[in-house]
Amino acid sequence: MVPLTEAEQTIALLRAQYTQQLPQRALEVEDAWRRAQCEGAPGLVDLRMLAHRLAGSGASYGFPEVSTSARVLESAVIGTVGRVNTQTVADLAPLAPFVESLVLRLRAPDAPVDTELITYDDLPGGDRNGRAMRVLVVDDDYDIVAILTISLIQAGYKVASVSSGEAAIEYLLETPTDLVILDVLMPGMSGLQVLEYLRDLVPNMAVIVTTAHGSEEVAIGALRRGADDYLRKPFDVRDLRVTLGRTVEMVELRRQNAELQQQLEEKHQRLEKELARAARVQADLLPSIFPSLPGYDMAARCVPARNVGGDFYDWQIVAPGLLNLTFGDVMGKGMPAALLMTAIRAVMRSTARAVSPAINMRYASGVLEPDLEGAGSFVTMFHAQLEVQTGRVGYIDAGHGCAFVYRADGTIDPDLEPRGVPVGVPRVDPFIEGVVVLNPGDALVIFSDGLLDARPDLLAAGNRAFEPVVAGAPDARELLDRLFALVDIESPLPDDLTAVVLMRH
Amino acid sequence: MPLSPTTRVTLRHILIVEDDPDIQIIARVALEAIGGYQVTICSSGEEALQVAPTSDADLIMLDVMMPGLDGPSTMTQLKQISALRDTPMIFMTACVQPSEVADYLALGALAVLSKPFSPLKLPQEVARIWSTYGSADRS
Repeated sequence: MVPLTEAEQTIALLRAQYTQQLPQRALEVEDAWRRAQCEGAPGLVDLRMLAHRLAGSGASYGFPEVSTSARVLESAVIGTVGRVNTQTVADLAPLAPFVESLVLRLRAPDAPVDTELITYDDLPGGDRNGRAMRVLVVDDDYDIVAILTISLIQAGYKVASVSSGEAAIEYLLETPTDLVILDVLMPGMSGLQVLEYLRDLVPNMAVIVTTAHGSEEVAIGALRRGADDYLRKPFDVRDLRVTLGRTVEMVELRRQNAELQQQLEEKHQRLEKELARAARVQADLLPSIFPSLPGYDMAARCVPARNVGGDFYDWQIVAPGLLNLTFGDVMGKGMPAALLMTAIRAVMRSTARAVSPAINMRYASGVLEPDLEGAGSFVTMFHAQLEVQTGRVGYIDAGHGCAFVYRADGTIDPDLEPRGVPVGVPRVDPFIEGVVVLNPGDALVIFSDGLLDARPDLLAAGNRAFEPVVAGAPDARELLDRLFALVDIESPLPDDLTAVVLMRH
Repeated sequence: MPLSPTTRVTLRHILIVEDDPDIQIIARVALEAIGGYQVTICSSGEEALQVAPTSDADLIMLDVMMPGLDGPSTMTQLKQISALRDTPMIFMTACVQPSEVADYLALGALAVLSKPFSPLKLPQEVARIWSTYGSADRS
């Protein structure tokens, strides 16, 4: 054997000669391509032969990219000839990017591979959903790149290829891509490193890793890191088709899923926005300015369990020295309750006058009951009328019950009789008015059963259980605050929580 | 067990059938300068049919795709020549499809080498193929 260095020198010399010929080869390729476009078959045969030779020799002379480009062109020519009957210029158009890519490579055989992007767009076929899938092949082995590129193009995908992990990431940052076929073992950035990077970068992109025979553990590691499938090398077209089919189906499902999720999210956000608007509208419906009542003070608050709720309160001075105070709690919560609440409030506003509470309720319920029946709902109401001068309160309790009078001595009148049925429930008896008198230091307290839902212990004990809570409260505001302090209003409430306090001084 | 009359333990002379001058020259350098073999080159299947019977080659390496007679046809015809019936033959091809490789092996090829080859590794690869052939033959 001659010393290797001498043989290497010879090879280097041959490589130099081969390199010098490459521009000539580029001209030959262009010439064959021109003739193929004019005369068809003979030019095509020459083009194929040129590509075949360059594919077979390029890498032997140290130009693997020449081999790859040439092999892809050769396969594309074979594919084109196999697909079309008559060779017209239009039929050959899909070959143009392959020819161009090879010619560029022949003119600059040493151009860095990492920055080179061989993209083959505008190819016909394979477009299942009106849109061809974009695939990036990442492999430092030009044979694998060539076979994958060819197979994918023939199957109708849009394919680009790069030969390193670094180049892959650079490409993917710029170009939307559906699928990456990624070699696990590459010099520089390994496939697994690329994979980890990609998973954060483009979570919806599918990744198939390719692994050498016998490296199943690497494949499993890749699947754990988020690869969708793997392809064992060497593979044939059938293996590739099977794996691709599986992955494409999954990509499609994932895309549809993401789309639906997106729609859902948008719908949800729209609803949230509407609800927030509704909540503002509803909050504005509750009176925020207290009437001027000499010798009295008032406090009121409403905390809906959701954005909007079915509790409400309202008040009006209907005649000098005469205050109508209405409290309502619509069955249920959320939007349905809120819709009914606004209707009931409006009806009460328009019907309640300076007549007895029983008459007000009779008119109002006459209007409301058909609506409530239609909605399958009901509302408990406490409608009271205060004679400011005397402290006399006449009231109708329509199934509400959550009301008591706090006496100046710290005791509670627990039950304000009589209590009728809620509005919306079939009525047998007419509204019967109860009367209570507020003396200085007394307070009328009306609240929603949301308070009792949040504190079941109070429900069992009856209204007297509030005595220790409210005892000694100097004004309406303080009394109200003590009631709300019973419940953690920051945590989700089981029901809307509302209270009104009217205190005489 | 009778030894095959064509048993050879040492590979000395390789006949290459290849139409591409670029491959011819790099293969010759690789196998002669690095491998230390004697190399004869034919540029077509037709030429191989003329040269091979009297070449005393130990191994014939054929390109698959050639104008005129292609590799498989050339091999089929070479094998019909009694002097070459037992001469091992290898295909060199740029095809990487396992199914096609299987077809060539079925034709009676000893192995299929993929092109392009690395000139520095080609002699080792040929030696490896030869050693499996030699040992299989001796057993």
